[in-house]
Amino acid sequence: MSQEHVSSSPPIKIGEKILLAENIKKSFGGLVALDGVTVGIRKGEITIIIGPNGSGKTTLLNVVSGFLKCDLGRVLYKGNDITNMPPHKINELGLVRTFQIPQPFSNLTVLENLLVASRESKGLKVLNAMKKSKWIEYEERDVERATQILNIVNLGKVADQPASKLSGGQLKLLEIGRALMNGADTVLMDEPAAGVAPSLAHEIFSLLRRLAREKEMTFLIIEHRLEIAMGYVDYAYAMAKGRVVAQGKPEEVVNSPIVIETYLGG
Amino acid sequence: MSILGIADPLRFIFDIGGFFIIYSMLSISMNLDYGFAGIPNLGKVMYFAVGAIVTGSLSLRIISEISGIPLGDFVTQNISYSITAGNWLSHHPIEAVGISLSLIGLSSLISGFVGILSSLPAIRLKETYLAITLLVSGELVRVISSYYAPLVGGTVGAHVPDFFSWVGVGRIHDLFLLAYLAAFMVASYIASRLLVMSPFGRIMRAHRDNEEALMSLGKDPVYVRGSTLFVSSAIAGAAGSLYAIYSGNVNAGDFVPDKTFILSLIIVIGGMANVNGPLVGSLIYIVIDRVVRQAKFFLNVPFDVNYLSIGIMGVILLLFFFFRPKGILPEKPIVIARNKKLKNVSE
Repeated sequence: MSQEHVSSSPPIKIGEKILLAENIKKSFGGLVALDGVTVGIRKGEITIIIGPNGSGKTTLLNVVSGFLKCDLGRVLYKGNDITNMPPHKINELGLVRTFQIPQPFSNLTVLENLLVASRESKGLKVLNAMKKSKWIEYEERDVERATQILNIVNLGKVADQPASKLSGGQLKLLEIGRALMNGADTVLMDEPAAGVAPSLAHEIFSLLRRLAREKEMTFLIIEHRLEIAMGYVDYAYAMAKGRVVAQGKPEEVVNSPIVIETYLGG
Repeated sequence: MSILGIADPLRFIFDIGGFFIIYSMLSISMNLDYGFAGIPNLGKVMYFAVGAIVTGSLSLRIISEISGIPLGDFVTQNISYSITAGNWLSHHPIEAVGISLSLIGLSSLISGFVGILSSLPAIRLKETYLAITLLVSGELVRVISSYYAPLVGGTVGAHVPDFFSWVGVGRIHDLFLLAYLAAFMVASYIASRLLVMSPFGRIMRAHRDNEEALMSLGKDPVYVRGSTLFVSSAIAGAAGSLYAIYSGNVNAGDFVPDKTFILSLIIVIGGMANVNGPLVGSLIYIVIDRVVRQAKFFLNVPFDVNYLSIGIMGVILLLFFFFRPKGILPEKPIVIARNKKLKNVSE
């Protein structure tokens, strides 16, 4: 009587909290990076976290995605307690992340970079891998889907180039392409628009907006370029010195005195 | 007609062939770990040793069980019994092939499981520490099997009978033996090729390039390392078993870490993460090594001439680092055909 998924909670509807990080604490030696952070993300929405450098945004994302273990607090995702679970297990539940500094598989082609992200292929098991007939169907389906995604993120022309040949902006797009290819429904993005030309940044955010609306995908985004991002997001958190200092509608958060003070006052 | 004092050039070529086959298999194994999956396996010689030790330890014992001729004390009766066993095998070809195949299979399997075991410390250890742990594990196998005589004869070593004594003697025998070894090398080559061209092979290379990104995309690096080490170690174990059968003798003291370093040298020169690289690298090394061994009677150098081939390889390695760091056959990006049925596309 064993069940694959322990969760017995009903499926989460649009607008309900899909991800909840409660009272997260994390220190690096004497430095308190997260000092009791609570953040909730609603399904189908784009949520943004803003804050000056060193305020703990990336640390929070690392804790939620399993790359760092927190000292205290818990993370719930789709009703499952994912606190301190290894990243690949968290990903299996449907949550993927991208990195602030792009992390490509440098010697693989752009297309292969996407194919690695595919979650279902019989060819991933070593014993099946040597029999092409076992996985070729999955591979064909994946290649087709990867090609579509490459066209969406504007990398169709460089599909067969090794990732090491891409520009900084293209690497950002590759990160997004991989996250889409992964088929996860919740995406955590660490500065998707950093180092990207403004027009492309707008394209990226419109794409996220469309995915949220049409595919009911959920996004949690860290972004410094507020002038670009603010038009696209539903909810905002502002962090400073390891705490959430403001939350609410994006324009309210950006204009709240405490946020302005943290940015200007340092 | 005698070059470098080689009385029988064909025999010399056979000799090169035998070692080429064994080193190719070992460097194919090394290339899977280090070239493709990025696992710094400095304990490669351990899997080779495990294969040879399993075969050296069991061959006479199994023959004794099957033939009904009592073995007596494994250590002291070893040489005389290996002759008795050889005689018995010369009249029992089916048993000879059957026993040798089972020994190779068993050696390969046991070595493969040792591979999975040695991936366990890799859960917590990164790069350098893992390399050191594997290096030490290899030494552990060598030291224990050198001093625990019942396993494989201790410092004296254990003999492996001639499994092809039924073919006869002379060239036809050597040719048979070589063809037998070559079949396993071809199988290992094909297996490695199929593996690296598969989705799993892609995950291996992704693991090498960026482990964190791989985890973020739902792939378990522990599984990647364990599976890679299982396959690569099984190949190395088979090579160890073939070495025992080919040389007719297993001496645990032979399995020093130098062998691992030579293998890394071979794959760097041949081309890392290129399926054909190990073959090219092994050929270069074995030809140099065998020729130097033969030429040593004519050379007068102020050091042990046996180290000369390692010296030559060292110089070649440095030249490669300067002028062709990716080896003779560099890694090529794998271009996948799109908008077509993949079945119709040749690799």
